[in-house]
Amino acid sequence: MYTANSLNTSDNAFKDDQIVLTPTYHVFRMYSVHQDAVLLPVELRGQYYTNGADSIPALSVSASRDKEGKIHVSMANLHPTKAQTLRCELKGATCSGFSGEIITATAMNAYNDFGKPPAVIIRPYTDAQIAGGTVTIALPAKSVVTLEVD
Amino acid sequence: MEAAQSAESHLTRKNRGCRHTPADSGGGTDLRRHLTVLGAIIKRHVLAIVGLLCIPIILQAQESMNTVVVHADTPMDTISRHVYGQFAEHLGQCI
Repeated sequence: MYTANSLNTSDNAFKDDQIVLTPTYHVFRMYSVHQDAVLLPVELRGQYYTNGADSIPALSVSASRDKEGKIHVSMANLHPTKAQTLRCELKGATCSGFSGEIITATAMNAYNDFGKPPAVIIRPYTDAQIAGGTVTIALPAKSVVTLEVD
Repeated sequence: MEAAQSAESHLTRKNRGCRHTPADSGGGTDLRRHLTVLGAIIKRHVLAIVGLLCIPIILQAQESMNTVVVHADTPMDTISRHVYGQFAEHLGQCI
């Protein structure tokens, strides 16, 4: 999960009677589709984000099927500068279409502030291709994408 | 490519024994023709080598692709609604 020091700006989320929606808020909102849904195991093979001696998988993927039978796949590209392409294969399910959401920003340290247009906000996501039951997803650097598979 | 093709047709002609062309009369012209054929053969081999060199690049491009298999055929436990409802924050000496 996302730690507060990478995404949250809780120190300045409240001001008098106003509230500003943080990236953490938006990401939790996006991941809420998995609540009370059935976990679908994922096998992920991919790139690493390396910084000095440290190395972590660049991508994180979660998938579940909700009570209505809809499959949601959430993907996070943790790499701050490198976009990733992810080929997603669904076993035991067909994929004819999708709807999606994305949250990202131009700068790594972008944040939402009072009296300014939101810099980090959820937007509709359409940058995925379906071919032969496989979905190819373009993940910009420092982004989180959730797809609802039809 | 055009040179390679013309050299190839020339080779075919040679193999058929059709050497009755005016150009065959001069020894220098013959040498030039042989050089042209040699050049065409080298060109073809260069193309093949370049093609072989491209294979690792293509393989590398495939490796840079991330892949995920979602096993919708083997569903597991229900995800508690509390899992995505809280987070941990590292505060230096405590969480």
